[in-house]
Order: sequence, then C-alpha cells, then structure tokens
Amino acid sequence: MEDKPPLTEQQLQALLRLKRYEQPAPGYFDGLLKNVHRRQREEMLRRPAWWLALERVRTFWAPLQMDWRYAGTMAGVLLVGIGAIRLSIPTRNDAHTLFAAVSVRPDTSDSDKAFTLAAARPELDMKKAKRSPQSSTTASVQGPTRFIIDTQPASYVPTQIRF
Amino acid sequence: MNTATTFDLSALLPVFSPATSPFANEPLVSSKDVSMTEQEQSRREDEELVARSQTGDAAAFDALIVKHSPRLYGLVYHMTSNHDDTDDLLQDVWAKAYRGIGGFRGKSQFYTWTHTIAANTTINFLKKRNNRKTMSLDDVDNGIANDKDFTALTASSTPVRDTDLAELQIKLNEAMQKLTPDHRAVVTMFDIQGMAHAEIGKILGVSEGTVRSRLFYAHKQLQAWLAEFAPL
Repeated sequence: MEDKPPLTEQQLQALLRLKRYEQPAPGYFDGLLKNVHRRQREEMLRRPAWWLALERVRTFWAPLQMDWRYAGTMAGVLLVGIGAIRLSIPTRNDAHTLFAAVSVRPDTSDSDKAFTLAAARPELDMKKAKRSPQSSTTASVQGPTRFIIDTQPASYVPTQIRF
Repeated sequence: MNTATTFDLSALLPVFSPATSPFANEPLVSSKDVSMTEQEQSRREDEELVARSQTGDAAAFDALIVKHSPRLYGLVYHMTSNHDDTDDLLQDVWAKAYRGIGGFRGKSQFYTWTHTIAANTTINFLKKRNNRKTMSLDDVDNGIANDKDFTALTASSTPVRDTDLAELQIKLNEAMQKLTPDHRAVVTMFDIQGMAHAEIGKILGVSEGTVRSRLFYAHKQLQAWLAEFAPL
C-alpha cells in the first residue's frame, strides 16, 4: 500500500469548512432560550435573601444613573461652604458670663495617701475670672452655696486642746 | 438696461451619469463596505441591548441570547463534537454572561466577550473531561450539496466521492478530537468560523503570533490524519 501525500493547506481548509453544515435540529435555539430562563430562575432561588434584597435596592436606584464623581464634587463643595459659613460667624466668648472658674481637683499624685477633704479643696482663681456687668444676675451657681474662710473650712482644723 | 439673457452654469459642466462612468460596471458600494456597515450596525445594536440589560431589561438580554447563540453554539460544538455537552455548556455560558453583564464595561465588543466566556468554559470542560471522548454529532445540513468546496471534493477521482457523508463527518470530528483543546479552539475559530487571527487572539487572550503558531501546528497534524482525503 502506497503512502498518500498529506492534504495541502487549501484542501484541509476546504474539508474543515464543511463542518459548518453540522447544525442542531430546527427549533433547538427556542428550546435553549427556555432552558436558560429555567436556569436563571433556579439560580435566583438558590441565592440568599440578603442578596435578593441588595439586588432589589440596586435595581431601584439604577434609573438614577448617579455619576459618583459629580456626587463627590458636590459633597466637597457643600463641606467647603459649611466651613466658610462657620468661619464667617463670630464666636461668642463664654468667659465673660462666668463668675469664677472653680475647679475641684483631688490630689491623686500619691495614691498611697489617704484621701482628705483638705486635699480636695476648691481653688478659686479670681484672676482668671472676668466680671461683666450682667454676670451678677445671669451667672448660675452650680450646687449648694459653700462658705470658705481662709481657704480652709474651720471645722477641718484639728483641735490642740487637751483635757 | 435689463437684459433678458440667462446664463446656465450647468451647460458648462460635463454631463455625468452612472452609465458613462468608467466604474459603471462596478457596484457603488463594495461588499466589504456593506460588511463593515453591517458589523457597525450589529455592534451598535449590541451596545444598546447591553445597556438595556444592565438596567434589568430581561427582554434585551433574551435578544442577545437569540442573536449570538448560533455562533456560540458552533464554537462549543466544534470543540466538543457532542451536542448534549454543547447544550449544557451553552447554558453555562449564558448564565455566566447574565451574572457578569452588570460589570461589562464595553472595553471589547459583546461578541468578543461572550466568545471569550464560551472558549474558556469549553477549554476547562475539555481538560476535565480528559479521555472521555464520546461523540453525539448534529445532522449535516442539506445545504452542503450546493457548497462549492463539497462539489469540488466530490468531483471525479477524489476519495471524498467514494466516502459516505456520515463517514466523512465522523472522520473530521475524530481528527478534531485528537487535537489539544487550545489547538482545537484556534482551528474552530479560524477554519470553521472564519475569524481573523487578531480577533482569535483577543478572545483567547494570547498574541496573534501564538494564534498563528498554534494554527500551523494544528494544521500539520490534521493534514497527516486526514491524508486519506487527499486527491489521487
């Protein structure tokens, strides 16, 4: 048996082109569309509820076609505007409404020390306080009135009298 | 002074009619131009359908399925030589396309995008299927009798003349199945579907040189396997 020469390029291409005539049965593509639909429904049923909810939200907002660059620019402009307005309004100085700056700071530098009321004495800094003409009527005093004699309550001085 | 004479400018111009044109026998629009126009029209239609699909229009996506399925079927079928596998794979392809249509930005044509999905899905399937090479072939369309290639091949003193059409179909598909999936994809797209090298490269994500190289190697193998159909 003699060896045949191989096909030429053109002959091979002509043979392969014949494969185009292999076609599915008529109506196959109508059935394919139905099968694709069925598959889409099956996939939808398998999706978790949160995914469906997310998809609904996305579909709801989809018609807006929001341009995020535009939205970002507008948000930036809005922030700059708010900042500019805030800077342009003069701020009120609250110091003139205060009668006195009173602070009570317990001495916590040495934790071994027993707490004494003397250590927690109030410090009244009259230099910091500014008095306004209205302050005597408008200033509100927090808590009960405290009477201070020589910066230390008299009752707290230990007695030296011995009997 | 009012002169009544009128000057007809057209009298000076040479009379031109299609009949006197040196190109009278040639069509005004070449078939290549028509093809380009059709392609452009098809591309625009795809863009519109994709945009509608992305807003949730199911009918638009159905239209894309109807339009592109025949060519995608051809790609998958000629790579698998199995109708049932092709049917399953095609459903996979459209399911993937449906899931991904929202992220499709139109950097490539929809046609190229779907072909990429189909080619990759089929190549992965074939690599998993490995040695199980059962064929379930589609019927050959009656139009083959009028094909000029077929009439030339069945002319006198050619081996195809003596070969039964079904046998020829089986031989061709068997030869195709001997190729690796990557080579089969290139042969299917170039020789059967008539795509250009550059287009195949885009679909498979390889260079044009790689496409040509694969094609050359695949042709060499097929020429040897189908030597029995060489003219006497």
